[in-house]
Amino acid sequence: MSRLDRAFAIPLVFFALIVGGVLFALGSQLTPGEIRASVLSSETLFALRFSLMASLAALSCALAIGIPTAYFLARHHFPGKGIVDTLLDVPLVMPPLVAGVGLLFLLGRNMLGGPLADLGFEVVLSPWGAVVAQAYVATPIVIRNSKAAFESVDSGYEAAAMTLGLSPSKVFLRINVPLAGRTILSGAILAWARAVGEFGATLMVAGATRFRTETLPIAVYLNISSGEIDIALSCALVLVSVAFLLLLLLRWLSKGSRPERNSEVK
Amino acid sequence: MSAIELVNINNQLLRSVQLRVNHGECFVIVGPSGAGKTTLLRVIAGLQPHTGSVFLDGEHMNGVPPHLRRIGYVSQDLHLFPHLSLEGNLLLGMERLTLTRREKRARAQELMMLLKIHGLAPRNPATLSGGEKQRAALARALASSPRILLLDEPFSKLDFRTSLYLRGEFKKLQQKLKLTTILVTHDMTEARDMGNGLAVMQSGHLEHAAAHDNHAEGGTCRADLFLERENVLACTRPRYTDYGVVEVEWAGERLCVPDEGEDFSQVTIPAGKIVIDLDRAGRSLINRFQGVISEVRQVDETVLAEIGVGGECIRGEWARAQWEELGLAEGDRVHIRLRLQDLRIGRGNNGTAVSA
Repeated sequence: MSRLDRAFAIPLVFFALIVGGVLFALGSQLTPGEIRASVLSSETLFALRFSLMASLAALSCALAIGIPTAYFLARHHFPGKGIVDTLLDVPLVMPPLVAGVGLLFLLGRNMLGGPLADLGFEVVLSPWGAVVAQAYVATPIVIRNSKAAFESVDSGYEAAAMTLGLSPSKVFLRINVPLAGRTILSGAILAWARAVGEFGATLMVAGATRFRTETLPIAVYLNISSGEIDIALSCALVLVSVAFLLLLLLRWLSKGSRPERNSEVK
Repeated sequence: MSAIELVNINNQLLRSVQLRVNHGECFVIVGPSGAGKTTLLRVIAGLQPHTGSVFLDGEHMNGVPPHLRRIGYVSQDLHLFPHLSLEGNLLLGMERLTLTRREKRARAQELMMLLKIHGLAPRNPATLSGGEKQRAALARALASSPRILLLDEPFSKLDFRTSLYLRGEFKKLQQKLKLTTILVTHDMTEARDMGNGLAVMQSGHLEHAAAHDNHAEGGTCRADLFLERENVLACTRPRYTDYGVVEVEWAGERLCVPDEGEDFSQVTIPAGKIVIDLDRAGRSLINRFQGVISEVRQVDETVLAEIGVGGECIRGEWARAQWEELGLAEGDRVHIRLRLQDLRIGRGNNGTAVSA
């Protein structure tokens, strides 16, 4: 190892210690017995269940909107495409709190909220608000990844499939989706992780009501505010565990998609 | 009624293309890269926008989407679906047939037997050799029960021996199935071997279509213009080396040609592959020869130059702009390079080996 390599290893070790330190700090505040009791408390279990349901619903919306959008963007050129493409990325860089304020106004009584309420669909300060807020931040991630995935599929496969008698919808489902599937799945996992951890926009749109709109991050916030550190920490540990599992899944997926060196040499 | 009829086809690349191909015929289109050969096949398959009319079996195809045209199309890159096994590729090719799953599997087996790939059914396309992939792509195209077959340089990526073998196999198969086929190639030997009919594509124009027999009999087939552009080098004294090349004598000098592991009777190189080396210092490269430009002709946007090398004559072809950049004229001394990858060895009509 050269001197330069050793010098570059210093920040690596420093940051790894910080990350490890944060995890240790979270885990060392409670005894295993206290962690077990807090994780099994009704509030943590509600937050976990609600977080999973809301994030999965948000992910479904993100996939339903994101995949067709990505396919269209990957395969078609139209005037103003660059502007539309950039616009779709805005939620990625927008502060979540600001996104939440925007959604709050858009879904308020003066704009879309009125007509939606007439249809019996209350979004603001309801559990649906959490789904909408999470879908808003997750959809651009699905679009980005899926677009790259579709662009990487050689259009020659589509041409071959069409000449074999597959209709455009069958070409999409049986050729494009399987060939782009792994990257789309990676994007879906990232989007899900983002939705599970979403806080700012959810707080603005759904509010922070115990046992109603209480996602795991909202539970951490509410319990830290009211001094119930045990539940706040247990929710934080559950969040970290979920994130860690999703990261492992992502690593496994990317490992499977990497070409083997030997086959490249051939 | 023709199997395929094209009437006044135009698009960004094609210029007023007219073509008629009869039932059961194997029609070959030759031409240099970028001439529009692949575009023409894509037009027939419904994959490329155009004006003019396409008729298949007398049926007007304009507006008919590709999946309803009943065409078998084998592209240059084959495009075997990597997420499916070989058998899966064939089964997908039977999508438009009204057969039960069992009947489809039986048909797939039959086709794999016909193309001698029946032992490879569960294999992924990535694990197949070049020749096996070629057969698989052909089997998949045939699986869809097409009324015509379009082949885009199907043998171009194979080594000489495999290409020659598969060409023979395909010719037999095509004659057996009496399947109307259009084959696109830039390899004249392949064109001669495969076609009943021949046309030359040049700058988007289908310059000529004539019966292949005319050419064989030495008639006035205008495809000769294109045939002329392939150089057949008269080589002697082969010496097989142990580093993958055969050294032969050409124009009184040593020429290295690829060793394909068998006897050959001729060495060819397309006119478009002749490289003029402007480095007059004369680096010691293999297959670098000095010559004199004896004749320069201009045909449309193409310049054809004849270069005399040690008593032999070699023809080169360049785009006009490229030639003007070189700034060369008749009588100039030049160095030419014949790159190893551009030289093709094969058997000529007499079939005799290069003489020792």
